[in-house]
Amino acid sequence: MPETTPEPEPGPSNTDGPGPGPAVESRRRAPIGPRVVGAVLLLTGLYLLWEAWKAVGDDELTIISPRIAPLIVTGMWVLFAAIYLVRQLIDPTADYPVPEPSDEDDDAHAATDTVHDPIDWRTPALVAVLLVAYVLLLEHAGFVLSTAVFYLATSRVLGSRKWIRDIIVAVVLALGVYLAFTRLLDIVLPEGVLPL
Amino acid sequence: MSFLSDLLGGFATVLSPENLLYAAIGVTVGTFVGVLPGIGPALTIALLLPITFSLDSPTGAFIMFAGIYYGAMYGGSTTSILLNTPGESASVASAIEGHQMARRGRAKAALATAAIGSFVAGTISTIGLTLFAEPVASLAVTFRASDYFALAVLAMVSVTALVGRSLVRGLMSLSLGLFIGLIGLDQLTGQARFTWDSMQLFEGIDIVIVIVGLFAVGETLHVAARLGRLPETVAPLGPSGKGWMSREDWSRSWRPWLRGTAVGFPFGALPAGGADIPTFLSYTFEKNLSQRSQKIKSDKAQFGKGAIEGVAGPEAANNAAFSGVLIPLLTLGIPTSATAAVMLASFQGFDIQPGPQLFEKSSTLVWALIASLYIGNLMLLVLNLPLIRIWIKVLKIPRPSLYAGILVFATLGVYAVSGSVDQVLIAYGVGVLGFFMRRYEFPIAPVILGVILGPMMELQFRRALTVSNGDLSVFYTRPLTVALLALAAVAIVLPYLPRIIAKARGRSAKRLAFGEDD
Repeated sequence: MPETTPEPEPGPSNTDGPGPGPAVESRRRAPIGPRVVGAVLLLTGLYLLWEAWKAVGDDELTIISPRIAPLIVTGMWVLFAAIYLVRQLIDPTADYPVPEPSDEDDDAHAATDTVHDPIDWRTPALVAVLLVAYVLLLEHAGFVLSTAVFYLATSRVLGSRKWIRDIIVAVVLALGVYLAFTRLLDIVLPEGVLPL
Repeated sequence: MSFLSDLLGGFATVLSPENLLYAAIGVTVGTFVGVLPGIGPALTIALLLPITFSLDSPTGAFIMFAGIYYGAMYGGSTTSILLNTPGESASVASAIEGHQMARRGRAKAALATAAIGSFVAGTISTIGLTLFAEPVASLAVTFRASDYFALAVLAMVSVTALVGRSLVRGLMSLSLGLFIGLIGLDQLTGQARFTWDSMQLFEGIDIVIVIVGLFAVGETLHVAARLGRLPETVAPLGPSGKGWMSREDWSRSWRPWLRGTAVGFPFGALPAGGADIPTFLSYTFEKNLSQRSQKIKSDKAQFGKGAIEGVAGPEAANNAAFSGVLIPLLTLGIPTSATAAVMLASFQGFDIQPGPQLFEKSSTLVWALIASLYIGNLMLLVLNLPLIRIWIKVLKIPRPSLYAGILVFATLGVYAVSGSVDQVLIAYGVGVLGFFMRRYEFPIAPVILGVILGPMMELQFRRALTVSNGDLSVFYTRPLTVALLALAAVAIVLPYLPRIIAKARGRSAKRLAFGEDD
């Protein structure tokens, strides 16, 4: 699962609501996502099972050996991944039933989002990139600076358009947390380039 | 009546100004974080771990925890009712009717019946905890390794089988959790497993990292992927000054409160399943009851249109189950929900091992914790209803700011606990995993229980076999072990029963599953 790549899904980005047009269209064919997930799970499981088997090596495989549990767990993984994948190949809608169009409640539908709804892959990918950049910068640039920049960038990516408010919140949050943690709680945070 | 003097001793500890302050901080922070949409009690406690670790007295830390634990639940029900985004699966049931009530202008009555019901249930079940915890602990002294193995199997299997819609996906999640639990050095022999020679993986992956990754990072990425489709409108509270509950609301609420408590506490106390099952049981039960008596009160708000019973019952069950969950946690050291798993981690952070000996070794601490549950409950009732408008302001925090903040605190939490950038990166990796799990509806709770119960299960399994010289018969000759393993088998079949019954009656299967994620 870690190496799953975002596959293209039908439907445009987040700017479109769950309007009737794209929703109806995406319901006609089953999304490919679950099958990709099943395949990736199965391959990962087989690799891990092989790793577990390799680790046994020349050891004697007794019932209390520490090599038993990895074999059982990765064996379970392969088994359930295989069942999942086969189910997706036979009938994807069996596992993910197409929701009946709700006649009344709009936000009830939003709360229970399904595989059949179109999804925006770009925003979460951007957020993930920002996260990695944040933690890599943390020890070099210091907590306050990297946190403020990260907060600002992330709220922008997530759709905030109020620069001034965000800048104020970013600075207050970063400084406040830094001072509270280092001065009150005695937890060390990277000081970085700012003279604090 | 030794428990009475113990309990009084606990109250004496809690009622010191310092500890009362910890309790007040706990309930306030717990409510605040619990109100934030998409954040449940498990993540709340995980994020606040570094703060509590810096307190010098474990007693203060646990009093704060008890406050956070309950506070996050009160806060969670506010969010479910007003915004219809339950932060944890145990609030899903009350969100159904609660949000309908709010949309019909009865938000205040819904909030009041949730809060007062939570208080009633919390108090009754804390009394239950007071009475039963010590006897269970003394019973648990006689448990052997094979029994603990069977208990761990039961807890894991029942959560996997009963939560979520698909058994295969649940078992897949469980396998993933068990795998994460295996990473690191073997507890008995010190051999490395799945470490790929990386020093960072030798210590294993901490449960806090898994929880922060799955709940904070995973949830944020999931939200980021569907920004346009989130419920945004907070239901209005109605005019201020007017009463909370009418006479009729009271008379329709008190029986569901008690029934919810009666369902919630025993279910929570069983080492099987946590709070999700009793809340849905209570919901279904109240719904059936009201349908039966519909002829009499046909004009009143019915199920699906904001029935107050549908909020009162599940909320009480939820809260009662939460205290119930503390029984297996404190007396056996077995967590049965994600929140209990974090609590266990925090105990271990203070070098305290929950289990049969806890009541002897750390008697003061345990009784202070139990006493603080009573006080925390009372504080929450006071804190929640009159101050509801403050919590609504919290609900109105714009989503981008909220989730950017959650990511900052997630990073900070992992970094402060581990002091390592690599551990933060691992948490992010787990978060990406969590995102795909949410997208493809793999339940989260089995992962958490797999991570924390897997190593425990393996340890007891090997211990039992070491004692018996490798004779597997220990697992099928001891009656208690056999009974527990049989219960686990029943738990796997149970979810299929309604479907089988429905088919036999010629109706299509009900869609209602116990919550999706925890």
